[in-house]
Amino acid sequence: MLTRITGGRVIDPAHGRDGVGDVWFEDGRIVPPPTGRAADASYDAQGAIVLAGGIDIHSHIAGSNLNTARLLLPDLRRDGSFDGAPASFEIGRLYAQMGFSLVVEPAISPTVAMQAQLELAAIPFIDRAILAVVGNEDFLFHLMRADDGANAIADYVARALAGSRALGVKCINPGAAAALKANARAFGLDDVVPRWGFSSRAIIHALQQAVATTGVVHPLHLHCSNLGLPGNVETALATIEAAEGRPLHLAHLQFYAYGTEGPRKFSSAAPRLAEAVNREKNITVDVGQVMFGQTVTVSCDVLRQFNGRHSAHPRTWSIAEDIGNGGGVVPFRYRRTSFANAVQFAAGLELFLLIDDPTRVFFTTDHPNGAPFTTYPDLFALLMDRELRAQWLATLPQEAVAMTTLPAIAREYTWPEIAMMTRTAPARLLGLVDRGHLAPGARADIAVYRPQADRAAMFRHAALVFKDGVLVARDGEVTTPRFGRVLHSSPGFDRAIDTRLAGFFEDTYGVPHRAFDVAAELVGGTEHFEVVPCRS
Amino acid sequence: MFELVDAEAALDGRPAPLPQGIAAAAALLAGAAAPVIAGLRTDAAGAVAAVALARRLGAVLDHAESEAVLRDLDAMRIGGWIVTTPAQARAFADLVLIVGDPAPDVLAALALERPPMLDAEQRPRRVLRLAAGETLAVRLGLLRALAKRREVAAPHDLVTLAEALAGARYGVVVWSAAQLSSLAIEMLCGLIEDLSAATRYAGLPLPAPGNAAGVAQALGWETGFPFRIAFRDGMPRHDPVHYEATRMVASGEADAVLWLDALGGGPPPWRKQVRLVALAPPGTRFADPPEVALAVGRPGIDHAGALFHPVAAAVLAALPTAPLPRPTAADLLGRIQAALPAC
Repeated sequence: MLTRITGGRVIDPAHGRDGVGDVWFEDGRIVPPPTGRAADASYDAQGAIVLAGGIDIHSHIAGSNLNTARLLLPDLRRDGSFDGAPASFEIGRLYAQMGFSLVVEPAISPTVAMQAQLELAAIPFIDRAILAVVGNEDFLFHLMRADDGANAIADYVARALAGSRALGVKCINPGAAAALKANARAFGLDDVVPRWGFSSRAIIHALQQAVATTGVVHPLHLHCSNLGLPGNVETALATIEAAEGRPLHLAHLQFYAYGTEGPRKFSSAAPRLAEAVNREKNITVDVGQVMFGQTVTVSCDVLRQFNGRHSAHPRTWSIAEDIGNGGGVVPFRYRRTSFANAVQFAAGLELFLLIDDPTRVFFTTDHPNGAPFTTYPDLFALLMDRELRAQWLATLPQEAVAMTTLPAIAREYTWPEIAMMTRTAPARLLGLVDRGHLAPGARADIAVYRPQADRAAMFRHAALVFKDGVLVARDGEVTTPRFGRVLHSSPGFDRAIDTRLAGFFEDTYGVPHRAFDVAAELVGGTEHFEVVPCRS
Repeated sequence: MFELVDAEAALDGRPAPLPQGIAAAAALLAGAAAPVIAGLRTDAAGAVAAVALARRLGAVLDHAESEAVLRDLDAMRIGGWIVTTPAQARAFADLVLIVGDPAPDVLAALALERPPMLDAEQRPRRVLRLAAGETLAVRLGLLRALAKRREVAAPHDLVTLAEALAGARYGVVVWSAAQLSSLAIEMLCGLIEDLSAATRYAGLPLPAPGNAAGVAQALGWETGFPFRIAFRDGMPRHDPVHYEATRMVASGEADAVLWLDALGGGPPPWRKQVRLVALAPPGTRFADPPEVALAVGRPGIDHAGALFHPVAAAVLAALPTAPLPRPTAADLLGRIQAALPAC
């Protein structure tokens, strides 16, 4: 069926397009305006904004940590206002309503990938992907000591992607989960894993090299050490330096944007971090914006969650260790009246507004850690409107606002910058050639927004949302559920690594390594998956 | 006594073709005012299909072993917990405290007779035992006081135990919720928390049979809740007391039950008569023939299925050991749902 969206302001930064015009699509793909054929269906977008479907590169939408959050907090869900851990179906519905068409779950250990893939299979409307977590396993440390370390680690990483059906590689507080098992309570960039002697820095280097060897397009996606601690800007700056020009993605940078200035020894250091990101072109970041309200933190940074468990609100938690990272679930309420939470809120916005290049800063709340993804509409509105920011700032503790530069920042995101940050750039970062843009050949993943005084309302309920050319949402109401695809990488590797893994796992853990592999036939079959090519 | 033999279906104990069995099951459930889907001994796909059917019927969902799972969940919800997996305990624990008398299979997988392979010192493990029983919660209270170095009068064995516990580098406390009270589990989690102030401890709650942990996970992502869920207007509600299947049958609130037992755990535990659709593997024996019985394949034996792996402590793919072309629970539930009258 040939479909035409007419008369909207079409913004596609990938091709320098920004002007009133039409978008045509057929059989799930964008097509050039046809000559001599009329559209079978037509949608009027006059006065509206037409973008490619949104892409979220870092949102915890599946996995045993998130599911534990569901089981931990049944009471919070009773009144329907808690969006920290919606059921899988609701995740797809809520994202589709906002005009998103692909969401990446960034923290799945290969040992729990099967369940994560089952959860992804239950999320309708959108495409999905996972990143596989490595960096705290004894098997990896064992390879780092081996003579053929570099090649073997690349094989190990590729094997982890294959077994998990993952798109890219995540590393979460490398070494810290292993150190916690040996009773460490703090772990920085140059601390070493007990017994093995490897520093966090050494693990990051090894994994950066391994990702480059596999040819996976998405760079190593790193959750740094010392998350959430006052003065941790030094850790983030040192980590940026440690990358030595090689590609590195830093997750939820807001949680590392803290100095020790001021009467409470807690301040925003976002300007320093933004300056470093602006300078170092190999670095990409997502923000992990904090928004106020009840949420739940879910993380494979088990050391951070262990140390933070007593700040839980309500007072309950789950710390679950495993043979690699493990994870922790700690509910938390960000308060407008809290000095620290207000500084966090401002620091996130400072990062968004002080990092110049919208292709290297990505839009996230680290759902649900900084806030549920359902707060995105408010966050878009804040980025686009300095008056609205001033109104929010006026409600916060002024001694906290004084610890930030936010009141002085005049920048307002433009529509092309929003499109760049949430469409064009994420597709490039993930290596997706047919998503994030509107040129012929692209998937017909399209979101149409109708401008109105309340920008948040506009983003919450897109006027029209198409996924693969099918209308999936209209004015915030979804249509009949349909399912997108799960994207993954499939780099080659030397099968000899299987033999090493088999021996190690059987003996050390009492479980065959192959038992952890995702069985495609139980999660929708091969049609359900789509391979994203690696660099050759 | 009725035994489901190798027929596709049986109606009141008489063999019938599968389409007839499906139609009878759909008619029975569609005609019920308060249907319950119970047993739920199934794989992830079966649990997902059961949710869809329950949503459509406005039925209650409960698992045969939900009591034990909810005891562990309650302990986590009330005070938080620190836990680990059997695989990690096997590789790393230098001290293991076994509470009660857990089933031997997972204990065997811990290879307690060997030193932990990833421990720095590779010394033989210390394996300690604490008997379950009515006084356990009280004894754990004393143990917690001793662990916190409070001045309490305690029996000698507890004093010795507290001293041993304090000496661990990575201690693991093993229990089976089915054998312990909620209070005892909560006290164990508190003991682990207390000991973690100075050294490392983690709990190892062993999973209940019947893939209870795996089904709790699947219901979690499908509905946001574990079992004891009711659907009203398509929305799930969770009430651990009200939506207990056995209670609903005993009180007469439930007027029809779909008993799902793809893992061969046996017939329903209640004696009271209630209209029954049973999905069970051939060979299952019932005291009285169910109105509708359908033969179902066993995940991990007859067909592939996603099941909670007790040693990995994760939902993993279980490949068939002897594939048979029997319908899966998800197949049968889907066909029953499709045969319901349009609403």
